[in-house]
Amino acid sequence: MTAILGISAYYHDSAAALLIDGDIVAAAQEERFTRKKHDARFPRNAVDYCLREAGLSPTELTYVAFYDKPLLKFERILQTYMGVAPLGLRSFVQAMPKWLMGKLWTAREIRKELPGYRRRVLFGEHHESHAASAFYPSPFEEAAVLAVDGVGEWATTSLWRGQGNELEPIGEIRFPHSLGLLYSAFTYYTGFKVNSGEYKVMGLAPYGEPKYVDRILGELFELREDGSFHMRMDHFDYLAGLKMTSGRFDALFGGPPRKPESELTQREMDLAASVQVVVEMAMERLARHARKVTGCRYLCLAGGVALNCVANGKLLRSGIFDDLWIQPAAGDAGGALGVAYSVWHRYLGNARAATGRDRQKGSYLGPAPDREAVRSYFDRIGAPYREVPDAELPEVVADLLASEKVVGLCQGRMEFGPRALGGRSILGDARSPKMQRTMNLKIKYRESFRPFAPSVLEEDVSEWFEIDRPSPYMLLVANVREDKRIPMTPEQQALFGIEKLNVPRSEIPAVTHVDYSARIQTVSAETNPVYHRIISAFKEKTGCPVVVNTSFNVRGEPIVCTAEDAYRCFMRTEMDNLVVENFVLEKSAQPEFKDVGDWREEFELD
Amino acid sequence: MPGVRSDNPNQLVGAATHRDLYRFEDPAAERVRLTREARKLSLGFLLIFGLLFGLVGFSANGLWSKDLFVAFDSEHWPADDRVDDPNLFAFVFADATSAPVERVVPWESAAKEAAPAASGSTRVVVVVGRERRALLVAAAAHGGGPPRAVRFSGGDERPVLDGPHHAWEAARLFGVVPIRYFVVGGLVLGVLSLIPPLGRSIYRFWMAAIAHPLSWINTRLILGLFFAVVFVPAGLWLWVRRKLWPVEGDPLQRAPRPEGSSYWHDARRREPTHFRRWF
Repeated sequence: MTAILGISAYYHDSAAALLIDGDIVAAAQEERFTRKKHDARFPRNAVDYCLREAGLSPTELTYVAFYDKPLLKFERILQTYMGVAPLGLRSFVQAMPKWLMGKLWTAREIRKELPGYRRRVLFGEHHESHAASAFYPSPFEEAAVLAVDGVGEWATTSLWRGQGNELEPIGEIRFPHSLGLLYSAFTYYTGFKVNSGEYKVMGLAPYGEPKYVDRILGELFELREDGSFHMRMDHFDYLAGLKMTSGRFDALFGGPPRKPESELTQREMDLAASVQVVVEMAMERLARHARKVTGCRYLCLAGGVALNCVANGKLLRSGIFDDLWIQPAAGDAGGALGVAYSVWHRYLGNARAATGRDRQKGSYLGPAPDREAVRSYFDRIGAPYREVPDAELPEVVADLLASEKVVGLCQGRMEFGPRALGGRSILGDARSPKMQRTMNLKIKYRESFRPFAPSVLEEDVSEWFEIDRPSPYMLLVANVREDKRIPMTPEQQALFGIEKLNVPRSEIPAVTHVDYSARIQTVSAETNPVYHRIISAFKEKTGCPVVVNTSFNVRGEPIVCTAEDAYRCFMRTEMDNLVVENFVLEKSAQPEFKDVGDWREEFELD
Repeated sequence: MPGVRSDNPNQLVGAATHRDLYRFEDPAAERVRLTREARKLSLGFLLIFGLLFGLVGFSANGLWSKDLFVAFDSEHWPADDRVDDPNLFAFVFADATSAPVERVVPWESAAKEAAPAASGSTRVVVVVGRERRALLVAAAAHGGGPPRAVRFSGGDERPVLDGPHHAWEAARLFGVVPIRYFVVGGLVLGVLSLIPPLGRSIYRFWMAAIAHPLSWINTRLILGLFFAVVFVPAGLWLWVRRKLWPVEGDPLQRAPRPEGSSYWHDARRREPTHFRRWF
């Protein structure tokens, strides 16, 4: 038996993943256990979980591998400070202690956290780990691979050709020129949190007009035909300073950055729309270049930018490649899985045979609630519940959804990656016109403009959306089909920006964005049978195979992991029902919930 | 591997329960950690102060002296011998030469803190001069009557010691090893071990009020100095290079390239053994 533990840590979204004989046994992000969003500390809880899932101790691990090369990254940082000195002192003083006290001694830290592990600690390259996380679990025997993120060691974008168990590097674009950092700069400028709020910019984009595209391409970001790009660094401050943009950037877009939590104006919406267009253009050119250079028919994507599902959807529709496969944990968390795969296939030389189906197991790779433990927890806290036989559970949940109840669902293994896919989800009726607003403001406590995603039965997806293939990981955006849309009146068409929000646009308004798009998750009976049966029962009752699926958390909180987390979140919000495995709870029947302090202060706003 | 793949398929698909996964939430574990840290802190104090006082003591014993010494404590000398008379001693070294003794210092006059000699013993420090870096084979007191063999506690042979070695030897012989500081430190450590809450409180106070503020200030001072001394000159040199050679001279490649060229860099293919390296 060969057991390989992959670890990513110290930047954001630390995680652990365990491969046994090339098969993913477990993977989880540390934030789910520590309840600190994007937790970057060593993933000791995630490692514990992975080992426990396999029944292994650290001494039984064959290899432990870290997802990047600390010394190369440190070299890049030192060269950057030399390149900008005498500027950069404040940033230098803040960054160096973290390096000197921890990041540089990663192998030592790993050994300290894994007592008994005596073998070699291996190190992959950051982009190699991303590329491996996209290619090795993919269903393709041969594919072009693009890794696009903020920055790794030096690479910010890299192109690979994967075949069998080999990953051949072809080219890279280097720091400080970065598509991910460009998007993060606009995230910062529009008043959202960097490394966290990028998906809000993506959600805001459809409310705006892309009126700044020419300015971005002319003044900030030079994009060449082969997808390579160059940034004018005098408009950005991330080399020397503690913020993303400089005074020149402010001057270019007519004012300072929006203050976090202040009112969103049309300018932010237009900026979001513009940078989204630029990223889509860049991704399309990168893909064309990849196709030309590799000659492959399929494309695999990873890196934070691959979480931009709007760009992914457009890439798919462009027809450059026959099909795409995107690593569900495309950010740094997925690097843990990638480096473990790299060690299995490249370092140990094990063969890889594509089967036509991916090896990600639906990304349900985390811990599952133990029914006895759940029962004893609810008994201990005196929470009234109804235990429903497994066969009846889908009917019960479908009934609740059909009566416009908002249901928290915590069943089966937790998802690996930022998306809730029916393991830790809040569900609602997609047909309800008031559902988006209710869920945003009363359940999630987040900005009202943010859209919700649909979960749809895999076999019905083409009847409701303009897409002809599964999207199991909620990483592709497609439009609602024309025949399901509601035509807009001339008055509604004249609405601008956020005013568009309250206009019902289709038969499933809760999941239809203002541009008729939807971030689709197709649900298969193979990977999540319980969730599939719930939606099937809902379809039986209503004729609609689509439900609203949003992550089981409130704003700023990591997605819930355990029954305890789920119950806490359930009681803190205006959710109507909670389903943990086959235990169904009703809010009105619950005893008064005594919270510890103000939970709104517990979770830092994202 | 036992316990990994059993007949129960559920073992690999969600069998792990997570009631006890939250290591950070366990107050008992946190208390244990703090107690351990408090002990480490006390041990640190013990070592630091022991070392400090030890150095002081050894200095008094001639740590920095450039002379060579023979220090001994012999019961074969009656207390009434005139041990401060250099003529009473004769030394024979391994190179078969004899050497004159420059002076003899009764220990009691050199170190006030020295423990009293055992009854009937005499302690002396004999300065034999720097040129004698050899093994003292025998020493004898003479002058007048027949030479008396000097027997040392460790035998007949004794090295001629320079300053630092002598300091230790003298301290060991004459009872000024800073044992008292280790005893006090050990007692403190023992008390802190017996009363863990006290240790934890002291540790928390030390870390919050002293260690963290000191480290915050030191870090900024040292790193600021390092930045000024190393990075600023290097940065200025790179700035000049960038002005002279805009593309090749800048590691950050900030200058745009000519129309028609590409910003792609060739990627280097690495052998699988690269995983063994952290660079």
